[in-house]
Amino acid sequence: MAQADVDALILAKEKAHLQDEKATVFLQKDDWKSLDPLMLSALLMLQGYKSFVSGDLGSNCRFSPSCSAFSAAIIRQKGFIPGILLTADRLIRCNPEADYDHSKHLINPQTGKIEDEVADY
Amino acid sequence: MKWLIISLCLWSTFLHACPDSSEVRLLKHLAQEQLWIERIELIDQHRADTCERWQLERAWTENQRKHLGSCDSILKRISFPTAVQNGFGNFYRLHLFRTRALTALQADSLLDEDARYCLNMLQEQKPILNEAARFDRLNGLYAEYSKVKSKSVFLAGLFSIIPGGGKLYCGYRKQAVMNWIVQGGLGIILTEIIIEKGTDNGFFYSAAALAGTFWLGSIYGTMRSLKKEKKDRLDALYLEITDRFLAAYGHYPF
Repeated sequence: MAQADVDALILAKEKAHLQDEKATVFLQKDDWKSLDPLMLSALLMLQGYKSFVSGDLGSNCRFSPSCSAFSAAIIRQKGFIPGILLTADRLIRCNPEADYDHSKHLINPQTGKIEDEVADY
Repeated sequence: MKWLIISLCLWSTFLHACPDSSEVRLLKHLAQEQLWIERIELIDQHRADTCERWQLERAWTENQRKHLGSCDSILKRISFPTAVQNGFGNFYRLHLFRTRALTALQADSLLDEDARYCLNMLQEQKPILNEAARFDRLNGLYAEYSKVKSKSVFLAGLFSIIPGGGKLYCGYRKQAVMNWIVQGGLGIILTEIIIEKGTDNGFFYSAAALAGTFWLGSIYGTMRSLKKEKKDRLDALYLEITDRFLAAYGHYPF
């Protein structure tokens, strides 16, 4: 692979990571009125994790969207209890061997991560 | 408290120390992407070749069609609702039948050997997947779909009561091992707390809530994941079929 290709891939990765970072505002202004306290507290904790902890750990998640983004989205979509349960399952699935069991066509060639869309659940 | 802190440390280590360092991961990704690029180039080349062949066939059959008139007669004989009633396996075969029958009809007539073969196979409900062995990607996608097609969501949930059992049933071996390790570890911690401190204290409730969440999450998640995998793989297969149909005939099937 030529150096230019490597640079392009790194740039694509950084761009994808930045997009991922932008898409991680889990709490909106109106959420204080519309969401129930359990969901709100869960989203608040996730937002705290994303703001203060996640940045130091780096982008290690094997999936896209990342586990925290997935968790926030699934809690919003399915409710608190199903969301927490699916998050627990996702945390177990997110490990270095995750590629082995998943269908190859689900791996994004640009980022090397497994596509795990929340809308499909 | 000691056990809770130890378990959280272990869990944190498991989650964030296990993945490779960023440099190794980057190299791994680059290697993976190199493979993907080569693979995509091969697929593109294959598609280009196939499309060219199809274009030639199509141009030839366009000439033949002038002598044959409408294709409705053969299409009516291959009933769509029957195939749908019998599930996607037949729906997929139906596409192959229709494609082959249409090609044969356009090329010659209903008496053409290929068309008769397709119609006979359709009437006898026999699979002709092996006939399309040259379509490697299509067969690969069908094989991936076949792995999860027959799996029951209910049984997956039922087997998940045993940690890792549901994943093993679905064919996800490494996920099953990981489930077994995580849930087993949480179970050991919970047992230790019960032995040392009993059940009427905060540590027990915290550990029980954590272990219970992961246990129930594993059951529910396995069921949802299987359902999602089925849908994803079916969609990928259907997309490939429609893609081929589009390349061959210039329009979507049905």
